[in-house]
Amino acid sequence: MTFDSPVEQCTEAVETLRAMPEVDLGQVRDNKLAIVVDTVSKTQDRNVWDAVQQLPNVTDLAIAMVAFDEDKDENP
Amino acid sequence: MSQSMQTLSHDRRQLLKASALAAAGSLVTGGSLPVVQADQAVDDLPTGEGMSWNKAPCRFCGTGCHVQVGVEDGRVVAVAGDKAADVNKGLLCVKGYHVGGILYGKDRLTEPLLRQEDGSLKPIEWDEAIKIIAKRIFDSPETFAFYGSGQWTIPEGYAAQKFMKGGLSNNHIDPNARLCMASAVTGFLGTYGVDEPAGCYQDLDECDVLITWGNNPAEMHPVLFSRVTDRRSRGENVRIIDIGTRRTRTTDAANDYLEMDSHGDVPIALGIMHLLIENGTYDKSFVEKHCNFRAHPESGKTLFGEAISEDEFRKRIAEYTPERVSELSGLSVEQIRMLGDLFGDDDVKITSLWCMGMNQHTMGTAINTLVHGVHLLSGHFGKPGDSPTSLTGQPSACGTVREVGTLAHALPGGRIVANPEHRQQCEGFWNIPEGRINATPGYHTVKMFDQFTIPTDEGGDITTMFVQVTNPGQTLPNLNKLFNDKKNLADKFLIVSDVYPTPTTELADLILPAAMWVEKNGIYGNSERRTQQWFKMVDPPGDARDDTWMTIAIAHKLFEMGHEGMKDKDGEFIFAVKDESGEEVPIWEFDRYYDTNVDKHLFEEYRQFTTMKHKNLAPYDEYVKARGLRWPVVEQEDGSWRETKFRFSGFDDPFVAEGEEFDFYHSSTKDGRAQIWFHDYEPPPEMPDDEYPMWLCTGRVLEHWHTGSMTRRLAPLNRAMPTGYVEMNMEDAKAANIRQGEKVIVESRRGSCELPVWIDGRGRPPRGTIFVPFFDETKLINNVTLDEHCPISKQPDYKKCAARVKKLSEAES
Repeated sequence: MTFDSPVEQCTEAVETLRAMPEVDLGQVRDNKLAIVVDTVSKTQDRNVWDAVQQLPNVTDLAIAMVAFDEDKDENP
Repeated sequence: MSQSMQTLSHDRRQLLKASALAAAGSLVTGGSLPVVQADQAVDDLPTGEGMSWNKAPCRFCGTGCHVQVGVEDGRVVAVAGDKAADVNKGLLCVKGYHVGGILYGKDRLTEPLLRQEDGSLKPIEWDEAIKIIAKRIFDSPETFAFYGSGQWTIPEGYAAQKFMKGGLSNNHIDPNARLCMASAVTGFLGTYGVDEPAGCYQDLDECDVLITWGNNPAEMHPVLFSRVTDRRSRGENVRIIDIGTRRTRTTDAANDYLEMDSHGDVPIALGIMHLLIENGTYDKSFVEKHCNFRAHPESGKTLFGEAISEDEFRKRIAEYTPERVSELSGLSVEQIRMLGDLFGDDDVKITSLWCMGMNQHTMGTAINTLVHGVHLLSGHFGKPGDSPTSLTGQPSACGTVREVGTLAHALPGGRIVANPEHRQQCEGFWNIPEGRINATPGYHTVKMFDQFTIPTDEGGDITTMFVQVTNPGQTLPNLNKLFNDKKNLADKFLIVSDVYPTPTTELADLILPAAMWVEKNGIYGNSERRTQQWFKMVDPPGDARDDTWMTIAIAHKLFEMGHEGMKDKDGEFIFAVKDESGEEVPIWEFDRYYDTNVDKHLFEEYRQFTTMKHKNLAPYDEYVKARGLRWPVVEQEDGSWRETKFRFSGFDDPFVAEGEEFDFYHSSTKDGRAQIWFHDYEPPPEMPDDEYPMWLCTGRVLEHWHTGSMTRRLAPLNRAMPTGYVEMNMEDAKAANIRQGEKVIVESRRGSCELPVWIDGRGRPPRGTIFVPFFDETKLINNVTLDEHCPISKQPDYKKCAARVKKLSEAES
């Protein structure tokens, strides 16, 4: 996540994130914060994505890794 | 679900979460990329009842990361980064983390399939398949061609090489590495007289400056790039200079981004050398002691060129002033002077890194030798961290292609077919009659497919082709000319061994189901001269079989049919393997193939070839114990085997004469010196014009490897990067009224391809340029690319051709 100011100044957004059971917070540097989102469905995934994007001060979300628990075969 | 599998699933979920956090963290702290820390040692990994772990190098790129492979109930159920491996020290990238899943796509090929007259495929028995192939070869051995790969294991490539050159007296064997590494090979040969980098990955740990020349290691070799960015997180200073034609994830981590025009690398290298001479900052002592100057003769371009004097070199390089280089390259005069000053500074250690950007180039050999020349002229050579280092895109491009020599002109161990002494040595090692090896080089890749797709009565003299372990129907340039034309040629017969259906199998007449990765024994050779071995861990599905077995079975069928070439001087089968009692093991029967370790037999035979060019290998059993060893590997007085990190440097290379600081002992001038080349800049073969106004560059993305035939079967990777796309500059898109995600047609004079647009996407191309990754088989960008190639290496230029982008609606109207 990238904020429009240093992460420590974005207390409202960080507190909201901390309260979300699907979200774990990771490393912080300047305006950036690493998070992991763990959900049980694509719908919930989407809801979290939308909610996080709408938090105050958030300017960008970049995906570093995607993984699925049910590692089913999938043909293109 | 068993208890152990439940535990595994829970552990796996936790591991995934930790991995994801590490990946995201790496983006936050290093500006880097998703590299996944496997933070469990082997001993800590889940070991449910019956579960075992064993080492194997990753199946994907040329980095050579080792993974620990977890097997339970005959199935790979987990992988982890191997902490005991020097290459990756427990790290894996997102592809490596999922490598185990490549075995389990639901459309694995499991039985031989023969194309019928109506176009359908009919399952047949292996015996019949082998007979069909052997008969076609027996009837016309000289029109048969074998197309292989840098994904071939060393024994697979060696068996194919021996079958063709030692058995059929036919040199029409070439690998897909012609499309990715050939210019690096000719660059090394032209400079040092012998192939492959002098340095190793340790350079990345010790350099002060890393220059990426048209190279995006952040996505293509992420574990290696993390070795550099991790140094920053430890407080070390390492400056990254990215020279490229578009911004990439490597640019994000770079201190300096130097955006060049397409083909600009050649004048940049010439400009640096100009400044080193003009400023008097070149390394006079190093050049006097260890270098010669070289250029192409007036009569034409050759690999080794002709000697020129230092004065002549100075005269020619004087033309490449910073101002002229700026015009040719697109860099500013200040940027060129900055590079000149940098290389003129003795107090920093500089590592240059490159891969396809420099190799897939109509001046591929030239730019490779020029970058070596920049390092030699400046003396930034031969010390840890101070070195030109090329990377490979395939797991055994070095081991199987370059060392085993599975190229149309080559023989194992750096020998060439055109040299009578080399042929004689080979015939001796293979115990075959003198004169068996054909002295005329065979067809290189582009020529081979051209001859295969030209009608026979119009001179297309390749009529049967066997493709193993690669996917030319997607990777060849200008596919309409070099591959798709096969469709209407009834007398041309394409045999393809693969693990999944691909664009290549779509036109195949006979499809052979192959075993892959840990379904068979194997040995790879990675980018840093490291040879790595693994054992078979699980069975392949259905009737899938090893590629080496296929080659041996065809050879034996020919032997049974009385083909003289399949016999050695004593009348024995050329692949004969004897057991301890002297009885021949029938390795051509698949159910007896694993009665012995065929890989070991082939490797020990191949080892004999490795000393001529000082690429000495240790016995097979040493590689069983190790996580790879970098050649030359020499035996010590105590019986142990010592690898070599830095070649040609007296402090480490056992073949440098005692007391010498450097010794280029395979110098083409036979004087222990390396060659500093001069090449004049030549414009690209095709430039944007009014009709086709954009530069098209093709390449790869982090999530997918090669043609995506394996990674697109992995749900996490496929969902993360589900489709090919065209990256466009925002201003270009606005000017053409093209919106984000809109489908467009990318077309050139050769063909077209429909793609969604990603405006200012992951890579950010400057105005007038577009980028398309080639991994998506549903969007074949190589219908568009150019088959023009380097005259020395014969490697095509996938990085620049003239193209245009049309809105789909406009194209339809």
